[in-house]
Amino acid sequence: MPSLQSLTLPELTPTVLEALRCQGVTTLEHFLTRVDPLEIPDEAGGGTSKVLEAILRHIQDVYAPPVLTGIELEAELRRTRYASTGCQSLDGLLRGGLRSSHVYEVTGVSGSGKTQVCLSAVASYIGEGHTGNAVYVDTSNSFSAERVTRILRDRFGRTQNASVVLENLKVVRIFDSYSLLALVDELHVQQAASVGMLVIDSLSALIGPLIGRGQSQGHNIMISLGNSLRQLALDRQVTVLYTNHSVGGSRQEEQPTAEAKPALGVSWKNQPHVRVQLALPSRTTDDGQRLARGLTG
Amino acid sequence: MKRTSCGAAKQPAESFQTIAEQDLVEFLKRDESAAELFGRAYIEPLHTGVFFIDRHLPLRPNIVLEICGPSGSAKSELLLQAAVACLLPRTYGGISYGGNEAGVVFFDLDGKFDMLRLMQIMEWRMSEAQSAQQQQPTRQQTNQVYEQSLGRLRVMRCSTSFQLLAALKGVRPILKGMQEAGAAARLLLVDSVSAFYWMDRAARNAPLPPQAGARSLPHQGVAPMTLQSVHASLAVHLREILHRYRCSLLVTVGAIRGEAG
Repeated sequence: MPSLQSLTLPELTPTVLEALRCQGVTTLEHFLTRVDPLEIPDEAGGGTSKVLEAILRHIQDVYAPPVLTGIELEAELRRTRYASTGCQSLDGLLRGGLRSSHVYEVTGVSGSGKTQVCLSAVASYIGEGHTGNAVYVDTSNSFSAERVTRILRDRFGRTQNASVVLENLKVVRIFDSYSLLALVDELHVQQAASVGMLVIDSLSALIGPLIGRGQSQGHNIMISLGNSLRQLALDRQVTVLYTNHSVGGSRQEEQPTAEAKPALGVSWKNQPHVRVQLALPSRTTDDGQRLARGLTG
Repeated sequence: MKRTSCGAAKQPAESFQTIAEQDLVEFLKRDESAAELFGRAYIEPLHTGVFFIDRHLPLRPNIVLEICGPSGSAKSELLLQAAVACLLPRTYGGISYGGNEAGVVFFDLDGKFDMLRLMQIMEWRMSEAQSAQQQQPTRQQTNQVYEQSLGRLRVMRCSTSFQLLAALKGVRPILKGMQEAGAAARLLLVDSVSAFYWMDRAARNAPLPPQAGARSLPHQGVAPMTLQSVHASLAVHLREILHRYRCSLLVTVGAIRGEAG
């Protein structure tokens, strides 16, 4: 996008710019995707390498990502925070809980407890007193303040009023994908009132209708959203948790071979860091506990 | 006079013959034996510890290994295993760790580089080596090994193809610096090359109008950052870096399915 002319580098004289334009290089993108060697007129006598060096230096300073050493990464690792999901066995499955800078997906058939996991995670986040607010994006009218307050009262002994206890929780009701993209972008850039956890229940209800045969626009929105969520998690050290409902499949007694598939499809499989799959207990087992299986994406 | 002239004529001819002979002898003298050449030019392949790589495709300089598979098939894990094997020292404090003591540059395009997992693998390998040789090093020695190994690792996170191409331009001075510091990078890892596939496929930059008076070039009216041009440029730049800095390259490619599939 940035044109070479707009860079205002002293080495890029009008003659040099004209010579580059004749070879089809007018923007930085052209320069970077160029495969054949460039012919640059040598007018200042300093050699053509000076022009290339100047452009490369500009690219390195402005566009190239920072180089992280192993030592810096280890220091970053020490600052990782773990947030509990509210369920001990699920925390064990996740090897400690929900890590910051990670994106978690909870998938499962209807009624397997995805919303419960979301509410429980948010309640634990508030109850444990982590720095940073929690944002709950509700796309299917499933948020229940009473349940969260009840969990906080029973598990953490917070007996105050709901409005006091849920002070750091922001619930946003969103019903279209563009608003969600806008929200994620806003969270990414805002400096004050940092966010520590973002829960989206449910992402597939919002994006599912957009994808399908012959709908490349919806697919692009889905991929952009996945990238935005991941960038938000990495750059702002946010824990992202969202749900992805399953479609297809049937009860185990009828057709044991038909398996429910996540609604967001195969191209989405690579997006989260960890995917937790919840299943309903089959009729033959006596205990009413939900079964959870963790898959790394 | 005749003698002197003869003598004068003979002297250059003699010296010419001696010079030519000398040159010939010099020329025929061997520079080095085959063993010496082999010893000088042979570079030990990187030992990764992954048996099917070490057995079937030992990682010599300029080798490019592509690892493809469906989501969750341990592609990134393979890269981390190879990275740890490259970073660890050969021996330290009397314990042989079997590493390559070389630098690693990791291009994280998926955004899923897991430092915790890398540290776990490193810790596991070190404890295996220590218990196999029945030695218990001091805490300070273990920390030294960690510091040395991690000091040889560089990670660059890119979120678009443009940033990746910019990173490849900017990585050369990094590699040069590592070479000069004695920890020359021998392994480049890219995870994964297919990360920007959909983004690039959807990119529709407006084509530039043909310039009046200029030669019409094939890429002049075409958007620059199309999938083909990005991949072509990527291939050329990576190959150049491999050749110049004598590294091997491991890339992961995710299985991409069509929207209908």
